[in-house]
Amino acid sequence: MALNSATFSAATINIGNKISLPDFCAKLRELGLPSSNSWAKTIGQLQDIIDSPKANPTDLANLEILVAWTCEYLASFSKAICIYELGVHAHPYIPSLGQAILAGLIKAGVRQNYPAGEFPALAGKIECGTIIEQFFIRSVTHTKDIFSVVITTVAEYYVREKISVTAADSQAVAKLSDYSEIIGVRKVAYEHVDVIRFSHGVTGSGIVSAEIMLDISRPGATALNQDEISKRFKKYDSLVNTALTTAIPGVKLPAPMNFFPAMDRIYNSKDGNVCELGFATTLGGSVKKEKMKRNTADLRVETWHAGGRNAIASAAIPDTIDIYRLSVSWKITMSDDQPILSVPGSFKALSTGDVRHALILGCTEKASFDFAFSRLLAFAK
Amino acid sequence: MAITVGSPEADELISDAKSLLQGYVGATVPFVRLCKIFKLEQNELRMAEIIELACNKKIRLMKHVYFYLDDEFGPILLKDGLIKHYLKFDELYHPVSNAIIENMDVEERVLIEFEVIG
Repeated sequence: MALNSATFSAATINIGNKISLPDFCAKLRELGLPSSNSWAKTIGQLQDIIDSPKANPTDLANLEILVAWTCEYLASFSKAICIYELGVHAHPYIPSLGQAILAGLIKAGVRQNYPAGEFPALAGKIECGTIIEQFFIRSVTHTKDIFSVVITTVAEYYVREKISVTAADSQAVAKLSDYSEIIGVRKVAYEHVDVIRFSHGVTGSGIVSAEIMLDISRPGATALNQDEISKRFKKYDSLVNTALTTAIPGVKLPAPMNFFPAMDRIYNSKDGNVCELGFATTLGGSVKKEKMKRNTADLRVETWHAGGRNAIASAAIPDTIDIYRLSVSWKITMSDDQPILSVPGSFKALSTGDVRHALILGCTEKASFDFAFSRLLAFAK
Repeated sequence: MAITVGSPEADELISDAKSLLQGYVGATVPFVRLCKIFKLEQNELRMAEIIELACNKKIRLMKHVYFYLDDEFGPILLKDGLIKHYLKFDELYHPVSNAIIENMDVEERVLIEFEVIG
C-alpha cells in the first residue's frame, strides 16, 4: 500500500519515544531527506514533503524507505532474546504453525485494533495511559521458514527525578524549608516493541524454534535490569504458551536454551572483540569484572588480561577462570552498526550454570541484528 | 586562562605533550592519569588548560571521549551524535534505551576522558 499523509503522520508523530533524534537524522541524511535539530521541526519538514502536491517522487520513495527502516529499527534495537527448541518437524511446517499461533495469540487476549495506527505508529502519552498491560499484534511477516509477529505493550515504570526546592516552594510548604532538593518518583507509561518468531531450521537442521525478543528499553536513566527483563519474559512465556497450547493441544514451550556454555566458546574463539567479561579465578578465589572502554577493542589481547591469563596458566599450581558474564562485539561489512552480543549472567550463574537469555544491542537495522543473532546460535549450540 | 594557540608557550607545551604522550597513542585516558603523566597532580587547573589546548581542533593531539555510566551495563561509550545533540540542546538520550535522561542526572552519569591521537 502506498504511503499516504495520514499513515506517515501516524508512523512518525511519536517515534521520538523510541528512536534518538541523532540516529533518526543520520538516516535522513543517508536518504537525502531534510533533518533538523528538533523532532517537531524534523517531522514537520518530512510531513510537508508528503503533503505537497508537487512532491518529488524520489523523496516520496525515500519516505517509504524511512518508514520501513523505522519498523526494522524498532524490531532490532536493544533486545533480550530467549530461544526455545520445539523439536524436529517436517518441512513446510511454519506457515500453518504461524497461522495457528496467530489465532492462539488472539484467543489468549492479544488485540489487533491498535488505537494509534499501523506499525510503526506508537501511542502518544495519553493513549499509552489507556492501554496499559494490553498486548497488540502490530505486524505479521512470514517466509517459508520464519513466522514473525511484532507485538507492542505498554508497561508502567517508576522514574526517580530530583526536584529543586526554591524559596517560593519553601514558603508555600513549610516542611520543605530544610531541603534544597527532593527526590520525586513519577509513574510513566512506556511502550515496548517486542517480537515473537517461529523458525524452521534456524537452530539446527529441521528443528522448529520459538524466539522471543523483548525490548529492554525503559524511561529514566538506565535500561531494564535483569529482574525487570525476567519479569517481562515470564509474561511472554505465559502468553506464547497459551497461544501454543491453543494452536497445538498438548504442546508447551520447553525450557529456553541455556547460553551459559556459549561464553566459554566465545572467549576461547577468535571471533569478534570480547568487550566485557565477568569471571572468577578458580583457585585464587577472586571475582573480577573487566570491560573495555570501547567495544571495538578486544579484552582477550589486552595486556593486563592476557598477562594475567598467562600468569595463572603457567603458575606452579595452574589456575583457570570461570566466566559468568561476557559481551562480544563486531565490526561488520553489511552495516555501520557495531552489534554487541551479551550473555548477561551474574556471579550466581557460576552456581547454577544457567543464563537463559542473551542481549543484542547497538543494532539500528535488521542486517546487524541478524548477524549478531546468527553468532549467538553458532556459539550456543 | 586559555593558552593561545600558536603562541610560543603553546608550541612548547604541545612539543612536551607529544613527547609525554608518545606511548599512549590510541589510548583513552582519564584526567587523573593525565595529571600523573604530566606530573601535574598538584596543579589540576594547569592540566585542564593543557587539555583544552591539546583538544583544540587546530592541534588535535587529544580528543574528548564521553561515557555514560549505566547501573546495569557500566560505562558505555556515547556516540558523537548523542554528545553533539546534548551539548546543543541539553537533551541526552540513553545509549541503550533511547529514553531522554533528565538533565539533572547528566552530571552524575556522564564522564569525559581523552583519546590520545598523537
